[in-house]
Parts: sequence; C-alpha cells; structure tokens
Amino acid sequence: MQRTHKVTADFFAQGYRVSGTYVVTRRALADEIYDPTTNYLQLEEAYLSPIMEPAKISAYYALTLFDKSNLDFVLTLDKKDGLRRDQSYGMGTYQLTICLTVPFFEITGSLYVANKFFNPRIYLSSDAGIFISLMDVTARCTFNPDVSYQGGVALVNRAHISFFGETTG
Amino acid sequence: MAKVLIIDDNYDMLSMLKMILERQGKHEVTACTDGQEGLAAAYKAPPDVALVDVMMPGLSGYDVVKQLRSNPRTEKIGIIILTARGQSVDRDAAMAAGADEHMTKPANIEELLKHIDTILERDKAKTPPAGTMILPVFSIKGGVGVTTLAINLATVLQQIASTVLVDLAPTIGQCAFFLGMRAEKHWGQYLENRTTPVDSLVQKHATGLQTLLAPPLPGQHSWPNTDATTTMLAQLTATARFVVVDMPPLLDSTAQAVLTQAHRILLVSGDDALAIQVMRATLQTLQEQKDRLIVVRNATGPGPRPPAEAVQKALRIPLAVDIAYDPAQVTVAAKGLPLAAVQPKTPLVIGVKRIAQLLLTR
Repeated sequence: MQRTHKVTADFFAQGYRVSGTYVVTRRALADEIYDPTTNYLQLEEAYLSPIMEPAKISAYYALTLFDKSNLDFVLTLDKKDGLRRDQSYGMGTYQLTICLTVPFFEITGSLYVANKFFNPRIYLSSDAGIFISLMDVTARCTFNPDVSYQGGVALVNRAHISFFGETTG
Repeated sequence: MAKVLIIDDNYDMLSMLKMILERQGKHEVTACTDGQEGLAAAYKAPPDVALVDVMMPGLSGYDVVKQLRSNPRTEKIGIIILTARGQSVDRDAAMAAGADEHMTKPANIEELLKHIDTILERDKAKTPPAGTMILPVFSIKGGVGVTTLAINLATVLQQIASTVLVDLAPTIGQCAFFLGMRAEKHWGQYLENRTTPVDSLVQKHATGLQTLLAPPLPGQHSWPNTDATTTMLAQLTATARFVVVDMPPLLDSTAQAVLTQAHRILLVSGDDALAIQVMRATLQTLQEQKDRLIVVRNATGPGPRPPAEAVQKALRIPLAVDIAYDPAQVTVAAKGLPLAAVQPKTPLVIGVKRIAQLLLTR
C-alpha cells in the first residue's frame, strides 16, 4: 500500500502568497520542486493572499497547478518537509549565511555547501537544479518590512535571484 | 469538562481532534465542517472554547472569529485558531480577528489541551472580585516621574489592601532599578510560556511590595500583545485588589488595551512647555476615557514652576493633585526603597496619598 501524507507550505510568486497542500506520495515536496523534468506542481486546497495583506484570504482553489519556473520561492515551516531525499541524509559541511533578493522579498538564511572555498558566481551559475535550499529562513517583504515570513527551509528559484550576498565571509 | 466546538473542513483532522478532546480532555465536543455550520452551532449553544481552522472554503476562520466576537451570545467564548498557516503575520491576524490563541498544525495535543485549560482558567479569573482596580500610571513624555509615582502609589495602596506593581516597560524595566531588585522573574517568562500562572512571576520587595517586573535585558522579549497583557492583568486582579501599572511612554494597541481595562488612569505631566503640550495631546487622544482620568502634575527637579492655574488653563482640565519637588526621593531611591515606605510625610508621599484617597472616594 502506498503511504501518503500532506505537507502544507507557502508558495510565493509574483506578489502572491499561496498556502497550499502538497500530497506526498512517491516523493517529497523538495524532490518534486527540484525535478527538472517536470514543469508543473499540483497543489490541493490552495488559499491565495496578496503579500501586502498576507493574512487576508482572497481566493480558494480546490486544485491548483503551479508553473515551477514562475515560483519565486517556497517556504516550509518544518525542515523535513523542505528537504530533498538526498539532503535528508546530510547537508554540506560548511554553513554560510546568505542574503538574497527575489521579486518583493529579501531572504536571509543558511546555505550548506561542501566546499570550504565558496564562490557565489560558480555556485549560482553551475550548480545543478533550478532551486537552491536555504535553512532557517526569514523572508522580509521589500515594500513592508513589518511583513516577514519564517521557515525551516526556503526553496528559492535561482533564476529569480537578483542579488546574492554572503555575510559570513 | 468544557463544551468545545471544532470548526475544520478537514474531516480527518476533525474526527481526530473530536476523539482526543473527548477521551483525553473529557470535553463535550461539537464538530462542524464549515464556517457557517460552526457559527450556527455556536449561536445555538455557545461553547466555552472554539477551535477554528483558518483555511476553509467559503467563510475563512478569521471571518468566523470576527462574527463570533460581534455576537453578544458568543463574544466572550475562548477561541483558538488552529491552522497550517504558522507565520507571525498569521498569528497577528488571528489575534487581530479576536482569537485568544494561535496554534500551528499539526497540533501538539498536550499543548492544545493546556491552551484550552488556560482559557478556561482565564475566563474564571476574568471576573475580578468587587472593588478590584487596575490603575495605570501614564505619560507619553518620559522623565516626568511615572515610575516614581507608580512605585509610591503601589506602596501606599499596599497598606490598604493587596497590591501588585506591574512594570510594563518594553525595553528595560525601571521599577527593578528603582527598587534595587533583580528581575529573576518577569513577564517575559509568561510570554515564553503562556501557561505559566502570572502570579507565580510576582516578586516581593523587601518592604513587602509585590511586583511583576519587566525583563532585565532589552531586546530579548517583544512588548506583550493586547491579549497577553489583558490576560496578565486579569490574572493579577484575581489575587490583588489594586494592580498599579507603570506604563511606558507609548500609546500603541497594547497600551490602549491597558487603558481601556483600567478603572482609573493616572496621567502624569511635568512642568516644562513640552510636557504640557504632550499632556494636551494625550488628553485629546484619551477623550473617551476622560471620566476615568486623574491628572497629576509632578515636579522632577528643583527650581521655579509655572503656576498651577496657568497649567490648568493650558490643559483645560483641573489638576487633581500637584506634587512639589521632593529632594528626599533622590536619596531614598539610591537605597532601593520607595519613599512612601520610609518617609511618609514628604511632599511626594503626601501627594501620592492624596491620589490614593481620590481613587478610593471617586
């Protein structure tokens, strides 16, 4: 019998926050998001809020499809819900504190890398996958810094990053 | 045993919570799968506590909470928002809608049962004994002697009946400093764990004065929100007749909640032009509370003062008490003692006693 469970996460895209439920059947949410062979992500029970009024629920959809390339980032409260299968066995040894910007948000969090000599340019341009995983994240809304989101993991769309800074040196 | 209403569109969650609350909590549970149905059930038989999901098709959990709060039959029930939306903005929205507590799914059952018990206990405590008074001492302008007056007023009232002095400073508490105390227990610990009984955090000063101090270090705790402050004060009024609150110079939603809850508000003005201007603005802001205001002028330094008549004319309100500069306060404060406990006949203490008299006779 196939084991399933549901993961609720926040999906941010183009000024909207969508709280939706991903039904985990064969693979975890992060594996689905990282998968370069699929373009869409299916969510159940999606609730839409504008990011400037994140607590206002402006629409409800029983079933939603997301174009993954249009996602800015995905935030899960619980770390285990945001890790790929391989990441759940162990992350990189070196922890870096990263600050980056995507549309509407400034995101800070920890990035784990295997190499001590981290080069952001090489990392962003050559590392596999269209998303990067940041741990212990705070995402602050650019236009209203009072609105911020915390999460165990943020899966950030690499193509939407406009500024990438490392604060640990 | 309490009557609990659960409103959640997720049938599995609903059945699981119902079973657990009935078996473990021994509560009588009504379960509804949408907001409208939940509202109808609540209006028909108001529960003691409602557990409300946020993300439901149709009426959202926030709408349900707002409607429960706006109906006289259900406005006072305990409400816990139980949602997968676990961000601080979601917590703020839940509190703004009128919830008592916000919990993130998947819920820790022990924690949920504790929250239900806390709400039930708090509701019992919400009915204060007759004659209980919450007395904030307040000024939007700092440096006018609010803490000194609060400490001495609490000391005078302590001689009449059980009194607690609460230091609500959001950054670093001044009462502990003035009283030479270490804030080993403080309200920050209540914010960390909302199931902590507030009276267990009350510390006794050498003079017998009971104090609920502010956290000793700035930045470690946020300023308590409206709900936390209301609950703290409600719990304290269950054990003390007078709760004197040393208010910070702020007029945000938390401060307003304290002022709304207050039986009398002691507004403190200084002598300088800025203090008087600030007091005028404060009086305009607190128009709705004007019947409960006691306006006091307090001199915090030596030297000439503008005549009381001129100040009253500027403020367009009579000064209830006018306190002259008291040099004894400086020497006694350095020893960590309230002036009222050691020198009962100095100008400051005489003024404070006059305030106490007004509080008791008005």
